Amino acid sequence: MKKLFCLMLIAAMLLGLLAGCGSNTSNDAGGGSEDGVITIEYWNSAEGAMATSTEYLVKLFNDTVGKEKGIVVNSVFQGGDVMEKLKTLAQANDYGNFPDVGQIYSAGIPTLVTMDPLYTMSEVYDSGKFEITVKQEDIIENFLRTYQYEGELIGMPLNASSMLMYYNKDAAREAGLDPDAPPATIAELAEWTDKLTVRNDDGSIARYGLNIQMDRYELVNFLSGVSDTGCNYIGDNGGGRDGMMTKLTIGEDGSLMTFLNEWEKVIATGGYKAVNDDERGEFANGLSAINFQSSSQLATMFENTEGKFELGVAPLPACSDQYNAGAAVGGGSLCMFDLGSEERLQAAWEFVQFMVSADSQMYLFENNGYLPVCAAAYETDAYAAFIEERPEAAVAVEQLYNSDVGMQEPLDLINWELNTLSKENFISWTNGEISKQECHDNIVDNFNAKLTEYIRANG
Amino acid sequence: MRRKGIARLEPLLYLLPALVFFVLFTYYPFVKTVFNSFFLTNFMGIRKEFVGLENYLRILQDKEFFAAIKNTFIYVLASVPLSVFIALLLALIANKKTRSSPVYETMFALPMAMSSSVCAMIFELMYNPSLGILNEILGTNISWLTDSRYTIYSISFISVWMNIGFNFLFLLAAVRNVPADLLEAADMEGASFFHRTTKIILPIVSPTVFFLIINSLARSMMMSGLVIILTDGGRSGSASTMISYMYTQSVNSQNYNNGYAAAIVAFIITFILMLVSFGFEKKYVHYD
Repeated sequence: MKKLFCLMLIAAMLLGLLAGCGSNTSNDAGGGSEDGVITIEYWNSAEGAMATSTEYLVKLFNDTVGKEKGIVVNSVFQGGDVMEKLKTLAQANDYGNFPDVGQIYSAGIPTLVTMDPLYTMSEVYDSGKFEITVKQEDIIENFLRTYQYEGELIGMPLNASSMLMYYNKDAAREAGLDPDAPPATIAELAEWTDKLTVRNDDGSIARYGLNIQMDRYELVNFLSGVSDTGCNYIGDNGGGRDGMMTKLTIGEDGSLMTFLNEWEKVIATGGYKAVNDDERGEFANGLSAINFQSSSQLATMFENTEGKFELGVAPLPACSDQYNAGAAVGGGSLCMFDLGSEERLQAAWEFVQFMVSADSQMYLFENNGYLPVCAAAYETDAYAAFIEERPEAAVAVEQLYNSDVGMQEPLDLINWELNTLSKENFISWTNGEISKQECHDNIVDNFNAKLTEYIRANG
Repeated sequence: MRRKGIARLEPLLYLLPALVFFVLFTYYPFVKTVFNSFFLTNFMGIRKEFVGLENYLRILQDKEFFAAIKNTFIYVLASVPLSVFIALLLALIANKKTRSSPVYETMFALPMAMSSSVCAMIFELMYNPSLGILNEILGTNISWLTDSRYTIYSISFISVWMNIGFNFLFLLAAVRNVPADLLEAADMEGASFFHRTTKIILPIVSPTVFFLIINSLARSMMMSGLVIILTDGGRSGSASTMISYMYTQSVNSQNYNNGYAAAIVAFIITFILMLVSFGFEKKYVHYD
């Protein structure tokens, strides 16, 4: 009897195991249709304040539009990058467990377009099957360009940001600088860095004039205007948007060296810290006087510096008088996936439209500093009232309108490599361990070699 | 006859569920990794063409991979002996049962209950060169996590702290199991604390020490979490370990070719190290 029981137990365990291994094509837990109500799944990577805003907007949708149209959105946080999860599913050929809508960063676009269930925004607009309340032309062109690949709009811009310069106005006054006339070029930034640096008696630095680690994000932003044509694509094939990027162009067109020549002036001050130990914390505690962060950090930066010093916000300095100022668009988009149900696609589109409506976008702007992606938001009373209350928020908007549409982060396929190469070589150059030319060559040559390796396997 | 057959089969059937899991989650991925390491593979993990040893040759020419191997050994040498040694000291101190024993036993074992990501965040704050408490106390200005001279040691220190609790629990149980009559006899013979420890306690607890060293060794050779969370591998891979190298190549750079080869090389090195360690068992571990 005991043996029989043991055998039955083993058999049951094995069956359970095999059943678990076999189920790879359903999405019952996350979505479906019941009693005329369609449940769709939204995978997001919203953290901190954005997580709160996301939950608020999803609930608002479920209570309003969703209730009216019989749609329930189930929001699921999937860590810092939804693309990683989608890639894992795609590797297992498990498209059945894809979400209906995902929050995707621009860097993920080249990978995303290889995935079968992707239902692009261009397909939505071209199919004629959907009720359109947010037209493509309602979205600001700079943001549309971010999510275009080979002429097709892949995702709908959701939370857009751009890089800004944050500076300590009190420190500027003490140093005899005009706090209302922040540096407009890298050369002026070098002057400010020099004057804002405070040294101890023993020569060590008590306050750095400038603290910025030159990661890919920072480098791309500074380089985006360094071009005779108005914008710098960074890589070939329109920075990877007109086709697969096969090389960096910033070496052969001289734009990287042009920038390095200017940045050399910043390094020469000796008051520039090239490492990110805790840039925001150190800036807020008066250990550095200038810092560069995304516009999405606006609320946090004001919160962190409140009662300590007057915070100044300015656009990114241009490389020199010769070149355009402006910044590349950052942030994320909403991408839709066709899971074989027309009604779920329709429901997903309703949710996407709700999220990019003027009201939703204003909510994100006020609470997170993300720039509204639809033009209509800028015409609302809420926008006017918010800018009056927080005029610094207008800086990012003005910067956006001054930026060429082509100023974008490139779709550089192996952006991690560019991040590492840029960061490490700028630190080494600042520390005097390598020359300017070595910094330049290391970034360009090593990245191109890695990209060639990647294309050989994936091209 | 039939009963005998079932009786012989029974133990095997008990092993079957565990075996299924091992095959699914250990042996199959391992064999697949070995197989794939001889192919050019795309970012979806799909094999494109047979390339023989090319992936191995590429990583063996990569300075960063050699730095990762070196760092892994530094990390193992800096963290494994120290965490076992400190735990042994604490176990010897806590050996005698008193009314306050549960309090300090819990305190010593507490790091075991901390997740590595939480520890990483706490130490990240402590290590901050300008705002952290460590430089403040020491009166130094060291970038513990970004200066390549210190990074791997800073990470090893966290690891030592994290492993003490686990090692302490095992060693305390082992130390308390040393027969009291042996210790009493040693006392009567006038043995000093040092002699009691080295001649009686250590030989008796040597199987536990050996288990802890082997266990820590295997886990330390595979360490990657702290490096990835705190340093992204450090400048020019100055803090990367074999597994963090594998991770960054496979996940961040989407280069499974280097990742597969790095995984196999890491396995071979770890396997050899384990064999060498077991060689010491006969000489230094006493089971009687």
